[in-house]
Amino acid sequence: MDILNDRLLAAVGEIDESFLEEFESTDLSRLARQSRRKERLRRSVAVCSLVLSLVLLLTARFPRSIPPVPAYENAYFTVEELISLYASEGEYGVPSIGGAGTVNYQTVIVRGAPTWNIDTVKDLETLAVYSTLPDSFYPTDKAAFESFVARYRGAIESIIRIDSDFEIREKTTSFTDIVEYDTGEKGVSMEVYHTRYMISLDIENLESLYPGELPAISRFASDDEILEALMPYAKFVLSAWGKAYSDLEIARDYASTDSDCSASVSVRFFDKEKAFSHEVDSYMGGKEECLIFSFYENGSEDTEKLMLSHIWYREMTEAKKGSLEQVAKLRRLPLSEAEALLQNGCFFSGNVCPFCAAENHKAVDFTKGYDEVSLVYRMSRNGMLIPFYRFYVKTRQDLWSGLREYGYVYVPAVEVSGLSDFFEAKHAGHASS
Amino acid sequence: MDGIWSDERIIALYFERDERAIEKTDLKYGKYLFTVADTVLHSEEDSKECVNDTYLRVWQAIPPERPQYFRAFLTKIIRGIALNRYSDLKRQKRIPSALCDSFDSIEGWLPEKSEAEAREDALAIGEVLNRYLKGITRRRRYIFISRFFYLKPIEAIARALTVSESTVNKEIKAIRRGIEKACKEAGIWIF
Repeated sequence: MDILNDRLLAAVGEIDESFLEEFESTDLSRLARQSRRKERLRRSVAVCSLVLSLVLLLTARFPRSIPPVPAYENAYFTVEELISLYASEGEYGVPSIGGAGTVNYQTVIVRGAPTWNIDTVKDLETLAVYSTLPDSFYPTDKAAFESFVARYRGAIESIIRIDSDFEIREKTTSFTDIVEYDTGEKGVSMEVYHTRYMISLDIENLESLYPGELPAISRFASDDEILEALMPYAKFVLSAWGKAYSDLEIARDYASTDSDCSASVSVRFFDKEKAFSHEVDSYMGGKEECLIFSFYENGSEDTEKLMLSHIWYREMTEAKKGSLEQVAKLRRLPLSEAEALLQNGCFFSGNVCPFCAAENHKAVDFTKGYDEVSLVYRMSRNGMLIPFYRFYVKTRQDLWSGLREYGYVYVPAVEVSGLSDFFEAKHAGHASS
Repeated sequence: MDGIWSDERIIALYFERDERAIEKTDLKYGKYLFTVADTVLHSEEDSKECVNDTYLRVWQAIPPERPQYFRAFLTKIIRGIALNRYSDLKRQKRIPSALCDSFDSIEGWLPEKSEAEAREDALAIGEVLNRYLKGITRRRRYIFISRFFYLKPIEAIARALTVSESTVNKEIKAIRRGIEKACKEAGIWIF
């Protein structure tokens, strides 16, 4: 190409000098790779946002009428457990990069176990599969790396299942090494380029997936199996939605496989009137099932997607039921009390210190009110489901994606002993520093 | 009075029409400017000429201009000079085709226009870019400027940020879409 024919190159030369000055004074260590995990979690925030669509729908129809928390969905926890829950989950409460609805993302993160993460980003041109190997595996042992590539290429590629509607016009595969910035973990990145979708698959703790195991998880649930599993939940949603099953058209979107042999698929329920569509993601397998419902205002991928609901269902063991019954006795916070906590800055975001969060992200001020609220359940590391009010503040309405962006933070929906003391201590710590 | 001077003092020399201004500029920014030009040209001889041309251009520009960010001011000038030189060299077929390929990812962004329109276009699109850059993260601005101002290769950007090349590529795709959208909103048809 002749770069002088490119008007953009000339235009770039006209950018404000302050940007160049900023560039030159950039502390690269601050911009260097935030962990892939954080990035994934950020994306998951976007999807969780998507997923909350039903609750927003319900709250819109029945304002201030949040259903009581079923006993089995309540949990026993302390402030410290809440902190540990959010300390690892990225920067909630600040604008997410993608904004609501820009990314369809699924993630299951299980520390100490094989973890695969598959995400799809529509309209991008790459399809990538990442995998992480033990430190000792690469890059010191090049032969072992090549052996890995040879062993898993086909199996990993087979995981990427694109609906036949989405024709793969071009597909290439390559492997490169990667190093996780936060952990120093060395790994390998497998990338498959695709003309319409980007799908990435992260595999961590791969040692437990060595020969023989990877192909074992390649069984996918059939569409019928998935729909059958979905129906009990779908009926609930359809009821709230005011639609009958017969009103809908159903289309399978894409499928993937998680590390616990669970298959996931996105099934989209289209209203025949085309007024809007309804998407249901189902995670099936193991002891855990998750349903994600998202609502599209007009069924178009290009329009703002509101998150209306996120419903988790977990098969509870007897041992857990015992502890949950204790928590079920805790007093449920009415929304008005949660609002008071929000106004006083007693909320959780990605930064465990809300004052730091407020300082770093002044654009989102949750103490002055909010735009939306929903009830969600967050799962702690010990598997407990914790109910939260999630308060949304609309941030920018016109992103590059054309979608709306939200910031959101959490306030516990049950009484937590010591919560106010915790935030007061944080505040005092800041005042003294 | 020897050594590295502050930008303000150097600029004051330009206003006094004191030729030490160029000497002090070269002492402080000469190597840096050479690097900027060499990133584009990959030629020591040509890059040195660009640096000298830059000093002449600065001498002519100050006064009346009084740049707020002197280094950035110099950088913009030498970038423009280096790109012109690149074009000249390519017409003379002195640029290896492999080097031309390194700019492939930015090919086809904008349709070709006449030279008479180029300046006007650049200013208009530059305004859009300024607004766009204000609205994105610092990290993404870093990638934008690395790639499209300094024309650094993807590999170098990825290494600087300790990310994979595919990550940088994804960011660049997002940037492209963002710019396209911003341009459309400004009434500039870029594709």
